[in-house]
Amino acid sequence: MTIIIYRTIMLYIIIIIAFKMMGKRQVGELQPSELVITIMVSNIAALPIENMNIPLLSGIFPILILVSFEIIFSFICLKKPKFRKMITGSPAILILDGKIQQQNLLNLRFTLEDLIEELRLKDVFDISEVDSCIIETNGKISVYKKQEKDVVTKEDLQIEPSTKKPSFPIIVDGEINKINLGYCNLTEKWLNNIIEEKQIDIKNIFLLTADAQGQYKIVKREI
Amino acid sequence: MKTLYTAISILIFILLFSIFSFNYISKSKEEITNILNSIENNITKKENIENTKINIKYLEEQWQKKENLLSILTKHEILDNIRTNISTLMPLIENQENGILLSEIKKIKTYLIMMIDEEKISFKNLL
Repeated sequence: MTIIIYRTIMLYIIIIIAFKMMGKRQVGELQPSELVITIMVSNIAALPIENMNIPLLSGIFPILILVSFEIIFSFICLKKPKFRKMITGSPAILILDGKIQQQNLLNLRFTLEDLIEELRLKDVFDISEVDSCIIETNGKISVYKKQEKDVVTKEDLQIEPSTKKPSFPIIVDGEINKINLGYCNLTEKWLNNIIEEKQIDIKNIFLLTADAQGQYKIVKREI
Repeated sequence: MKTLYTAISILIFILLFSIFSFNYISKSKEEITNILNSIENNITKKENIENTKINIKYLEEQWQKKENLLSILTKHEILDNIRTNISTLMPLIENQENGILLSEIKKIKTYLIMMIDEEKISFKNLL
């Protein structure tokens, strides 16, 4: 058991370093440490299932150790910015003032094709539209377009914005969501009035959405 | 904060459990080795065969008691090998096959050493 603890910790640290070395491209949507946990946990969990000679605890303990480490690491990251920078790295600028930062691309082993592809995924098809582009610690990019190429807002056009709020699901599959009802500042009395008005059994409501203005939509159960 | 304390508690628990685990394995190894030594003495000193049989019976009982917990703590393969070897001791003493019996005892002792060696913090185990 003791050996398992040491081995888990050693591998955890080694894989984090490996992912850090591989750079942001490999990370995807997760932070390096989260990715390490995801990969290791799934592999460790499979071991006692595949091999009946290994005690189940040899699978459970490393998973608990990894999860505990992740929680402790994320707490330390929260309190110590230097540690956070060491574990998760820091965002890097790929385009600044419309100029591609070639050295940063090289450091991150990010090809121009990768950059163009990522920009396309952000609905930017012409690189000259970009003012700044930053690659975040989780490997995703953030794009700030040049002012003349940016989307026109209602404020730009001096149009009075509507006060419409988003609607929330209030009844899903015949079940009332009281939390969402609270978000919309609506009461159960209001809901009961609607149900009475529509003469429909609550169990026959597949979906009922409503917004803060009390506007609602009902989808009846068909099957 | 609650999650952090839970995580630290889990780590402490696992650490304490690993200490308990190592102690239990090492204590079990000592106890079983002592019984094996006394069986070995009985045979080499050509003592009463009934005494040896009692000792082997006692060994079987003790192993049965310990095996359940040991199977949670260590690899099943070694435990299976030890159990198989212990089960051969009684027929061997009944047939007076003392030479084979002594070699089986040696094998069990080696497995016991292997069992504890796998738990030791050593360069070989860590890397």
